[in-house]
Amino acid sequence: MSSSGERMTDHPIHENHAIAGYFGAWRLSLRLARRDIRRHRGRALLVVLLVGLPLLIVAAGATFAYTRDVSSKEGLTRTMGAAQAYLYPVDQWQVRQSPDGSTTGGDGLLPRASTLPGARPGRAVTAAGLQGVTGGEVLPVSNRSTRVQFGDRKISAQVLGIDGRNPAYRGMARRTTGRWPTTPDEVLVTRAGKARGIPSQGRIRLSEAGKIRAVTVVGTAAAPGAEALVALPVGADGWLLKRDTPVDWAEVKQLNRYGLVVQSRSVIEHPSQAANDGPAQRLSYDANPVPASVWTLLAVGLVIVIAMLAGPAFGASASRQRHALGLLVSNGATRPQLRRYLLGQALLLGAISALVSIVAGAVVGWAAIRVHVAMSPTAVAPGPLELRWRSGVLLLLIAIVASLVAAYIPAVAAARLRLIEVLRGQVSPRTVRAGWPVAGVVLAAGGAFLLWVAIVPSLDAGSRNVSNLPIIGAIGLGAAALFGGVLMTTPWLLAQLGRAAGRFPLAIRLAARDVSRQRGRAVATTAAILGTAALCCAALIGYATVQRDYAAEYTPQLPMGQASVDLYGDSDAAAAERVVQKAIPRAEIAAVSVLGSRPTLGTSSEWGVAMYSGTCTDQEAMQAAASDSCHIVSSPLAGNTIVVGDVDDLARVFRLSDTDRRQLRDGRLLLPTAGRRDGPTPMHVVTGTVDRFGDDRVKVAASKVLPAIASTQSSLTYAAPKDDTYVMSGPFPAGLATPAAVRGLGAVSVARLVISAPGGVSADAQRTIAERIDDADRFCVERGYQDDNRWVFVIIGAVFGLLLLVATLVSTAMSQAESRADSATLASIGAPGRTRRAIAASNAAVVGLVGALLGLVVGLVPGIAAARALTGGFGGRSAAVIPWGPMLAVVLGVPLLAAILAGLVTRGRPPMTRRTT
Amino acid sequence: MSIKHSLLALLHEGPMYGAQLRGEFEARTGGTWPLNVGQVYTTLSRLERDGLVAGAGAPDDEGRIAYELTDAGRAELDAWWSVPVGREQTPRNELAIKLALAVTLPGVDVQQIVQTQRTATMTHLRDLTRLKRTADGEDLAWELVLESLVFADEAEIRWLDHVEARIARLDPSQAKASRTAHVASAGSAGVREAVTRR
Amino acid sequence: MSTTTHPALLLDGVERTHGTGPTAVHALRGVSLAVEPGELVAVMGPSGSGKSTLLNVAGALDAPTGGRVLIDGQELSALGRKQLDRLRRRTMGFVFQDLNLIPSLTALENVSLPLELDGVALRTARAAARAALDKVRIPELADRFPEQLSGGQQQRAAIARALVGDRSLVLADEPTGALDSTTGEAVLRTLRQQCDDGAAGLLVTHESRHAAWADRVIFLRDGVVVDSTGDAATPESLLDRVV
Repeated sequence: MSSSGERMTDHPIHENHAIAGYFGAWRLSLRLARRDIRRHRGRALLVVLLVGLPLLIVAAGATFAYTRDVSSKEGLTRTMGAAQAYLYPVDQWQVRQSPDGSTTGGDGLLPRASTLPGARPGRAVTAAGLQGVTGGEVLPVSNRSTRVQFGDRKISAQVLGIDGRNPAYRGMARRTTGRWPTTPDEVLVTRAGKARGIPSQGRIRLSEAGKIRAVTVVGTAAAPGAEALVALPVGADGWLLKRDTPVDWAEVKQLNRYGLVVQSRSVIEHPSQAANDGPAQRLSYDANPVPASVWTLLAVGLVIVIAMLAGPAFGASASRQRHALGLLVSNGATRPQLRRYLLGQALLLGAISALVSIVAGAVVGWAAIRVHVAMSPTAVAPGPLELRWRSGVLLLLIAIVASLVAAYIPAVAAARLRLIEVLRGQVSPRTVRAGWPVAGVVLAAGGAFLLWVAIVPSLDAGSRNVSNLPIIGAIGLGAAALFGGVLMTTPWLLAQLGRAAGRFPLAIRLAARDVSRQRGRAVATTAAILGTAALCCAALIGYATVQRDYAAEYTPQLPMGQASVDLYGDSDAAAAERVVQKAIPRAEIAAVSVLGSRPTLGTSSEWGVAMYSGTCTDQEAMQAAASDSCHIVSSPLAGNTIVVGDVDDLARVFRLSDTDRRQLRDGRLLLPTAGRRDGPTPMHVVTGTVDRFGDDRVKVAASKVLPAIASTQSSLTYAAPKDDTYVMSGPFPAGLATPAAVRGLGAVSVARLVISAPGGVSADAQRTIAERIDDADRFCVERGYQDDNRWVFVIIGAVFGLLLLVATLVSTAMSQAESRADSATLASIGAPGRTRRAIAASNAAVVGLVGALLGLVVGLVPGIAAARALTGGFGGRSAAVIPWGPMLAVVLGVPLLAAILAGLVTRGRPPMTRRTT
Repeated sequence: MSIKHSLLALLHEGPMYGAQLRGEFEARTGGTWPLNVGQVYTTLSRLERDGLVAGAGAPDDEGRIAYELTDAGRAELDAWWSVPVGREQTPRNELAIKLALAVTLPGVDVQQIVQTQRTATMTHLRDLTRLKRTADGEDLAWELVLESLVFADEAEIRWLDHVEARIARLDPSQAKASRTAHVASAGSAGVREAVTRR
Repeated sequence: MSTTTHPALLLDGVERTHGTGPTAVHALRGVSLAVEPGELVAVMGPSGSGKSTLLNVAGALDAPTGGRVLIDGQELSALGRKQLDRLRRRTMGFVFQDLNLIPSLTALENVSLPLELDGVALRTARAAARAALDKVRIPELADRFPEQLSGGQQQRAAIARALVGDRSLVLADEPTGALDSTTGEAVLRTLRQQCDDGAAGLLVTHESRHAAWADRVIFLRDGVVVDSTGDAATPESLLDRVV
């Protein structure tokens, strides 16, 4: 050294390069972190699990959703086979469409469509016309709904109409067995169809528009769109364009002018062609993505969840390294360096767990898709596996941020360690800082108040204006204050628990004391459990209250368990009755008929009945042209009619009194009290048709005068009336009469079968009848308010319960690891094996119960506030429903479950020898 | 052992007869060193000759003379208190000599010597401890003297442990409870040197 | 518990070997030892001599590969795990160098632990624990936590726990290792007192002054007993050797 003429002082060892030093320090801490992780694999694995589990769930869910979603590009073959485009006509106006043709619409009125060259104006589009305007070959595709009959069953199904022999259709369906249909009387059954019961060979019957024809099943196929049958096209709902040249955007726009929607392969594959077309872009689905604010909220939520789960693990890790940290400090490490040392571990572990869980999540998502396909044959086929790397990067960032957040507070606390105590090995439990419990209660109360005030008015009166910044700020602040305040009182509560523990049996005593002494880690775990439980309870309260209100709003249309079949068009009432009788032999069927034809869906000319008293003409009554001298009780405009039937049937269905029955038997027309209150009055009854769209032209068919009398009931309804509610489905009786009374006024046809089965209509009977009834008719069974979203309850409980379980078990595992010396001591004094298990179980139970019960209390406030706000607008019902059952099931059940699991998993025998010679 | 300074210290209290001095000495040292009266008188006359004590008055009826400290005697006593006990007075350590010779002579089982000595010393130590247990805390002087023996025994045992470890390091076969091999080889010259470097 | 025919602890030709073949380590090679009730026996030896292994084997924390271990006349090899646990709860007690007490229990709760584990009623157990703390002269520390006790007090509490109830055998592995000599002496005094009251004790230590509290000292070297002190001398003969 000295020989070269340099001296030591020329190159000082400690050079100060600020930025290089900063990165150098991080590099060092990462290197240390890597070694530390390799040495403490168990601890690292735990953190990876805690950070990775939520990420895995998100990654799997996202993969599932992205894959299941079929974009236009992914669905090219199923839409248009091997053709250049798929066209279909829409109305008589020109089309404004999105580039991929999936959305149509437009601003303002559109001009009428031009007529295809060579076609007559006003007529439907033909293949010849299309061929003329596109210069290629057009092949028809149909997709119709039909009623399939086989055996004695009838189900509605979709039929895909393609010619599988033609290569242009290739990909729209795939033949698995048999051969393609060669005549219109042959069909293939798909997996979806087979799942619904359609046989894969033999003959079946299809009914379309009232006509029934028999077809032969010649094989099976797989249809991506989950249609039940594949046959040759019947008519054309759309056309494939087979051509050598692609259809570019300009041509698409041209075809749009003929009233055609075009899904062009070329435009879908190269969407930039339409990039400059503003209106088209606006129609495009992708132009309206989920708003960024929602994504941000979700990401923040995920960070919080992960931080809460991983926080205790980092805390324990930091405190277990206290001795090492003490040595570092005694060698001159500064606080920022200590923090960096711990944060370096967090950074590395976050990155590792993100990579692992994202990959694992993609695999799980793929597996979920496969399971979904196998288990739901009637669902549309998913697209190809879709992995979006942008989402992956986002998840990676979230994992790293969450790990750093989780590790930050323990790192700060650990860096502030008192050197002397640590090196001497003392674990000094600091006494509870005086005043903190009181301050905590005050803060919590303040937070609760703020939360209440912010939520209730802001969501009141239906103005769900959640994007209002001050309100959101107040909610956030209130929630934080409530949470923080409760946490501040937690150390004191835990200390009290420890003090009271003297009387408990050994295992519980040890658990309570351990929790009360491990201040830092216990508070972190309690925070995690508390937060989760609070969110869960708040969500359950809100949901239960909303459900209660919906249930209260619900109006039944029939007595419970009873059913009705509404007959439309020209379906056979006798046949329907036979179906019901066969399914429910002991059913009592009341046939309720209407005067005149049954309501036919889809025509503009309506058959109607008018009733009036006074001096107007039949015409005026039918047109509802009332005047002073003319009191029109009912007209076709009102949509109700005279219901006709057997006296006993009517009496049962409308719950008529004996007086009313007598009136009916005497041939009188029975009106609800709202009509007239006097004695029998002569009422003109007119039947005829009114053409709604034809300027209300009336054609009177028959007219008669009937004696009418008011019923003892104020209204005639099928179900027991509730105050201020109306039964929604018809036929609405404006009056009741027997067939004899209304003879001559026109045909009487059965409109509804009211079915009363002893013990209610069973689910099996319901399914049986539904499969066999005519597809034009409507069959329903009254089962009261059906909460279709009951599964939401279960999902909320399950997800939060799972998080609670994980947090509790993690905390238990950590305290077990830390008390290994105690286990050896217990073993040396002869503790039986079950003691160690009991201790683990008690640990889990104490930590879980304390946190969960606190969380329940904390969650009541936002829960009730939200419940009130969400339902405040309806009918003045303000008390919130608190679903104690599900809440206690989660709050008590999960800790107990954790306790059982912890007890089962713990080994009864710890290592016996504590030291080697 | 010279009891010169002990007598000076006792006379500090006040003049005493020879027999008194003997009694006081034994009482204050826990009776562990019984004195011969003749030894006392011989020492007293020597002290008088050196001018450190002087007769205090005339002989009494039985012809006993009391002695008292002179100023010179007081000064000598002060010096004795303040000066540490000299090391040159340490008598020859028979055990050290025995082990030194054993280590350098072939055919001697050093290990056995160490063990035998240790057991004996341990037994002694145990007995001393048992004696100590009977102490009721009244006689501090006696306890202290007893404990000096205890610590001396402990020191000896620790030294024996050390010797054992040194021998083991020198030649591993000697660490076993077996016969020692020849020790005086070129390699063990160091030990010999240590002994002769006196 | 123990009758005059049985020694409280008997090791008969006990061997303990770790591993097999040429790399086998013989921790104990044929050690025989008996401890009678009321007797305190100390075991000394350099590190690696097998003293701790001896204690572990005596206390059934480790199983010998040869020979027999009998406690109160009962062969340990004949006992199952549950019976060994019961033995630990009722008959013998351990005192280790450190980490004897469970930090989250008070001294009283620690001492009553073996009785509570044995199913003794809480009140009885606590009363017996108080009596044990009395015997080791630290009754006022009953409601303190271990971290509030000094090292010596912790060891005394551990001794109390090792002997609470009617227990008759205490096994101590370097109980004074972490203590200074005066405190250690107090601990040994306590142990001695218990043995004088009838317990049997086996003490492993490297401090000769502490081993001196025992009735017999055994020297262990490479897994074999190389020597042991005999019976005590009388006080008179002791002083003859002093001058």
